[in-house]
Amino acid sequence: MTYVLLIEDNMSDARMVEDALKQQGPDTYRLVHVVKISEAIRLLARDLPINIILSDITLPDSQGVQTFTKLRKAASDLPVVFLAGAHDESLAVDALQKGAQDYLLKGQFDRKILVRSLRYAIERKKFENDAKSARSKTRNLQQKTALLKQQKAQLVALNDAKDDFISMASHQLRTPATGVKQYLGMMLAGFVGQLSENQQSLAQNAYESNERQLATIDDLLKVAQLDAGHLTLHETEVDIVVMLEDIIDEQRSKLEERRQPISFEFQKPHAVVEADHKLLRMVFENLVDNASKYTPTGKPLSIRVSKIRSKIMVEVIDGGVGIDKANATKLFQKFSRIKNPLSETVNGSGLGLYWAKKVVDLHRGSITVESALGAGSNFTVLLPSRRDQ
Amino acid sequence: MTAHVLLIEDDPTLQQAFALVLRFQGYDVETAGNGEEGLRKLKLSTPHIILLDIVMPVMDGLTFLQKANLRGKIPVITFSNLSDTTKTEGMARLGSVRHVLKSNVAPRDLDLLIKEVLGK
Repeated sequence: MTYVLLIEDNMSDARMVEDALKQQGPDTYRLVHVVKISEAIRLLARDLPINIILSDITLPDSQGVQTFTKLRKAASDLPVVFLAGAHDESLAVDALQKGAQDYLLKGQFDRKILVRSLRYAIERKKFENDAKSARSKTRNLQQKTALLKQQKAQLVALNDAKDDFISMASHQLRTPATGVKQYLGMMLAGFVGQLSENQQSLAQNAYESNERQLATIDDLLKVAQLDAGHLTLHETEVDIVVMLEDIIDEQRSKLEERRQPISFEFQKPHAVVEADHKLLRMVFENLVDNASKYTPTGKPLSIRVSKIRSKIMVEVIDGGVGIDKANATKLFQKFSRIKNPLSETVNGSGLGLYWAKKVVDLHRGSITVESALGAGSNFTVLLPSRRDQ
Repeated sequence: MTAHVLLIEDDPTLQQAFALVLRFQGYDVETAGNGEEGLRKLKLSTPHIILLDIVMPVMDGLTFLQKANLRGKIPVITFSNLSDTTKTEGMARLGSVRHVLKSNVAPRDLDLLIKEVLGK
């Protein structure tokens, strides 16, 4: 059904149109007829389902291009076809040039021509509307592209400034702490004579506090580098078992001091992964160190390496204080330090596990934790194994 | 024979600290505050080993390495508090035999490190 708004003050012309459209059969055209432009505008404001406007070019309250301009203003997306007599054809031509879809000369068209003109006008207007919206979309996209380019340049500049800052901060924060380390280190090494027990203890505390400061600076810088997207992996073949044996050896004296026996289970042949050796080692050092730190003296730790299909699974298991379920998800977030019976005495920046997870993610792996309060934790790292295994 | 060390470090506190550490451990220490001063000291005497900072005013450590051309002549240990690995990679090509993070070196480690590099 096509709804036609007919604006025609000449009743016989109006009837001619009405008859012609009726002949097209029921339910093809429905006519809404008014005689003035003012009435038409009021109707159009009511949001009726009009598909096309068919209007006399000379009306009692409007003429020529003015008629078209008013209709455009009232309904910019509707097609307009004008009816003109021989005396005012030039007005219809003007309206055509302004954007009307078509005009018909009164007395010179029949039903077929009228219907074809209406159909054609509707199609043409639809095409024009589509083209207009495509043009506006293109313009929008061009504006957005320009904006994005500008924003990208700003981001690059900001990122450069951030890199400079990281580099400078790294240098400036470490330098004075390094001075403290050397001077206290000399005292502790006995370079200026034997210290009394009290002096030794105080200097040792100061030295350790300074070491903590340096470790925190390192953690901050590591995370800043990672967040800035500057961590590139230098991947080689890494024998996970050898790496873990190394880490256990390195931490053995500390573990013995805490009387924490450590067991290590693995299968042969050894699991090999493609990884950045230095970074992956730091991840596992962190996990083993955490397991020991959050486990009371005298309780055991264990590490297990196994192969599951195309993955290598490393589990670091402790019988420590554990974490409740609600906190387990927070564990890998930045600056998250979970309160537990040992957190008051154990030092940490709250960045270690955040960093570890990011590094494991970069290796296309995953890190998860299973834990229960008071029952210890099981940290599981899954890494893709080397393809030919 | 006492080993002769040229220490090139711009930060006065650290220069003094490392010089003290080395002297306490029996080294003969010459100091310079930047690369240019380091080059001048090299004309006057030939050390057994050089400890070289990287970030310095006037002439930085990398430029010093380029100009001094010490590869295979005098071993150089570079040390800095930079965490930027791209810079440290270039140093090996320019003749640095070891690169260490200053904040990681305790006084006793410095002695061990020098002995290791000198093969003693």
